[in-house]
Amino acid sequence: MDTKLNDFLLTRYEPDSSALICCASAEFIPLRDFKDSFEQIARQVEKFPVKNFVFDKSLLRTFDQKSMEWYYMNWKPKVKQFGLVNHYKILPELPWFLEAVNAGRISILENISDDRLDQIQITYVKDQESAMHAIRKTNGELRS
Amino acid sequence: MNIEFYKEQLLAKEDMLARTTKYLLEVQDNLIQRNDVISGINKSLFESISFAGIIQTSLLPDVEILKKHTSDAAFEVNNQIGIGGDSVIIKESDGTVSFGLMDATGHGIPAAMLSISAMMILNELFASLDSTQPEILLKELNARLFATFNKMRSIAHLEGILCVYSPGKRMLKYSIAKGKGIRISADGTIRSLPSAGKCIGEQATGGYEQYELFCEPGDKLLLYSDGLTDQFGGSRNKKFGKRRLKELLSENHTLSATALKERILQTFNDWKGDFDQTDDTCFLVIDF
Repeated sequence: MDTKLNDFLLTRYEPDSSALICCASAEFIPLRDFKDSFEQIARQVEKFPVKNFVFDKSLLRTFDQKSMEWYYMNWKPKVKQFGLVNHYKILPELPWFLEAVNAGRISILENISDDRLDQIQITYVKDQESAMHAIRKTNGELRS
Repeated sequence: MNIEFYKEQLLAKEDMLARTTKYLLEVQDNLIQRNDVISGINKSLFESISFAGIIQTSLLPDVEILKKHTSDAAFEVNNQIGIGGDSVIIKESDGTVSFGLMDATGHGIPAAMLSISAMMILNELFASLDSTQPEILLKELNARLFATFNKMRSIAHLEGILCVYSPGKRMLKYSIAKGKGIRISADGTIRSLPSAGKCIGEQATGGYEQYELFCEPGDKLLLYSDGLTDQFGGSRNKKFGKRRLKELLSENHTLSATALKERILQTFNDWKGDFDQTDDTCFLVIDF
């Protein structure tokens, strides 16, 4: 069942796959709300066994660089300590948004040392169904 | 949503736009630089191929040699990129004139290399073997090409026809290695030469049939590569085909070899129109 974190994000826990799905429900998430939401998610990750995280951003229409920098540099290393290692993202199917993501990643890459490159590892998937399929495959629930 | 939300969203959008624009301009600069590099390579390759085409064209025989022994003769070699696998050979020896047409597998530089190799071997064979027997020449050419190119795996072969004409006897001997030819009798009768033989260089051993033909005054012979009949074009983008070629020859059988060559070339170009050339194209017309 979906849990509404605030006006901007919903989450759903899939215990069978040790997966947490986080879905943006607005076009834009202010930085403070983004951080608050992801701190809540970090607490869930600490509490439940979550190995896989899906961030569905398909409704977003603004790529917020500050949020993403914080997500990669602070949040990901933190949840890694709690066992969350596999990250999946769903982007809006908008060419300009994809270019904005590319531009953002370049900026982040310029500010990250080589030994921390794994922090930016993300698997992009088309939709939540594809994400769950990939997770089940990684978990060994499906034959390849 | 309060005003602060929209303010922050606007600032984020501005930042996104500026960052993305900077990124895309860098991508564009990168593409322009790569395009310059590729254009330079393309120019260099084009110049190299053009020059190679000039060299290959200069290796073509002088049609005047064939004209000396016949009423008229003419040929056209039109390789797809200016260099290719189609070629003509003409050689004269005591009392006879030999001529033929070869079509190497593939296109472009590899086909040209194979074609030139075959012509060099054939020139050597004319000097060392009985050059009045096309079957012997083709058999030896086949053996040498097989040994040179296809021992390990079949990569290169040629189709072709080799003819030896004795003007005094008006007798034509010819051997076919899957090559294509059409006889045009003085009365306008059109007959294809038999579709015979195997490709040159395809198998280690084996021979070729030799045929003989008495040539009446006014008889003509067309040797051609499949690029002529395989050309796509016309209003429905179809192959030119053998039937159209035969009709063309039938309608123009009274023309001289030179005029017939021009008529075939004009018809081919009209058929091709704006379509790309399908294959290397070569043909030789002899008026006995």
